Amino acid sequence: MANLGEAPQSRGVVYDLGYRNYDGPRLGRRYAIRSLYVLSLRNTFGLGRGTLPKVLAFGLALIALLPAIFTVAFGALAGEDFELVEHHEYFGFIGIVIVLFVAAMASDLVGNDRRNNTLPLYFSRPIERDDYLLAKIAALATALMSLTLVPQLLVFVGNWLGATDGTEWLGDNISDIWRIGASSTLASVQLAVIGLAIAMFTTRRAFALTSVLAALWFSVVFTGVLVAVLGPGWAAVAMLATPGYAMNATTYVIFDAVPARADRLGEMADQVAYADLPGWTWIVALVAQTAVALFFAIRRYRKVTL
Amino acid sequence: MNAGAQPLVRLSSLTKQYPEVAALRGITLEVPHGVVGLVGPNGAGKSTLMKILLGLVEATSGTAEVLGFDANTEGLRIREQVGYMPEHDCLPTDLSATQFVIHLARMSGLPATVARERAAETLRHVGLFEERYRHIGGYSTGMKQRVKLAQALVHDPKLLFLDEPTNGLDPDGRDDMLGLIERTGTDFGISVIMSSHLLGEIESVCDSLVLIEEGRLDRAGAVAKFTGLGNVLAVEVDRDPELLVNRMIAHDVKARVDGRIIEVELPDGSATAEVALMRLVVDSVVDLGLPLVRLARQRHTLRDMFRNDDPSASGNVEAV
Repeated sequence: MANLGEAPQSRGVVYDLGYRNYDGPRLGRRYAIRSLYVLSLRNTFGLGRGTLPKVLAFGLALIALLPAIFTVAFGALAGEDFELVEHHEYFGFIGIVIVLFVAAMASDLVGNDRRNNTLPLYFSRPIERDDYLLAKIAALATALMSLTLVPQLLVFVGNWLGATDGTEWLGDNISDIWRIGASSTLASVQLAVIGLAIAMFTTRRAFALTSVLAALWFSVVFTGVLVAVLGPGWAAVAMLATPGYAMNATTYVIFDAVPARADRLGEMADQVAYADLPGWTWIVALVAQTAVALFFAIRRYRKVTL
Repeated sequence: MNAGAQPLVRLSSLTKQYPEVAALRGITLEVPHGVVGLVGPNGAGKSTLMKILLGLVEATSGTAEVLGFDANTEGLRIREQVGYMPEHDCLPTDLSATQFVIHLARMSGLPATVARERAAETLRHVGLFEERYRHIGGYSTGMKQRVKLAQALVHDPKLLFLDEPTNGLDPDGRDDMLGLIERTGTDFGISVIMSSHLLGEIESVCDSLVLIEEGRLDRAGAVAKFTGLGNVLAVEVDRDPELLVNRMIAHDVKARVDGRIIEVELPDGSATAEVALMRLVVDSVVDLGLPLVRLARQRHTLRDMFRNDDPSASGNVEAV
């Protein structure tokens, strides 16, 4: 270290400013979107942030996993193919957990950038408005997959390992894999888009949270009460317009588990049977709800003033 | 691309009409490379102009080119090569400066390892050391301004847009910031467009200036053009400056008092006339027995430009 004072001179610099020019690669738009996606996803699980966001995210993910853990554990104890929760019912079991997760994370994902006014820093970089939205939706949808897909796969693997003849069981049940994948993906994307679209209309966290809860959870309760009153025709319309119904009914349709007829109207599966619609209408409803929410979200961000 | 081949920014009848107000009313202008000051009172359209140049806001009519790219259609290409420091608070509170600057470096296209290296270097360069690992929420205004500058600089842009970079800083912080901006412009070959409503700042760091008022271009040019040697002799005395002024006026020489300084107007052109006037001043000071502090040829400041040429402007622009 004796020549500490000489080193800068030998490089022909009077004093070291700690700044160098950069001639290396600049990776552009897609890389920028991916970077925003990764950071947003990490933020969702509280990584790089405080303790509270971590506890909240991992706590909810754990709760969503509990039915799967019990199913597998009891299956191991009780023997052959015991199922506490079947795949098509899983979202019904953990619905409120998923909705709480969406409500908490959506207001964080888009709200923080608005509250802190960081949007000008993002939009002065090589991305467009829609790219920002795309990254946020993808991040929330991916985070949701850890609540929708992971427990389902755990149940599947648990049942497989618990089966007496693993190979035979796999042969009989392998088609559940695509059903699990399709229903989880559809539900995650739908809830992510709707949740974000609602959360982005306010910068106030509490207001965003309640609005998302109202749209995704109280709407289900409300429609559920209305169903018997309305009669099959209008009940069907109300259900098609309710995100929670579209999500669960789509899952029943994918697992081919809609009851042949409605016995009582207490269970959602019975209410779906009561509506007596062809299966594809539920999938169309889910896609349409997602598209409408996406439309409003895109319009919102194109108009946001910086 | 040769940096000198084209102007930094080229505007042609640029107009921005908001529903309520006209922010820019037909500005046509070529801005050279270097450190450029964008001056004007608050609400003159400085921030709007910057946002149009970044492609963040669409112009109502007219065109704007930055580094040869059209701001309206090639915003992405522009934003790959520029950095932007907004006027207002724009930082998250629950991330550290390091995390945030790394993230924004990646958003500007730097590979992950480069982003980490350059974030550390740039934060050091703007004067943030161990603090950079702490959450930004606990930073002082001065530190936040440094983070804002660092995020604009981290990807080594060709052009920096700085919107009121010294806003909210104390005098020391202001000097530091201006020093950083000056070095960025001169030592690293990065052009800078900075807005300010403080003429003193523009004068101390900028090569050229653009003055806009109520959305119109008032004037533009090299700062040196506005601050050359003036034809004013400044005489500073310790007491009774009025006596000297009265004596000058008695000799038919224009003079006025500004505090303890008497500004005596020198005759144009002729060197002998100048010398004669200086002799008259010195003789008068001796004759009146005034304690002379300083006698100097005065430089113009940007402030004079407003005081002399355009009295209406000086009321709006806060001069320092």
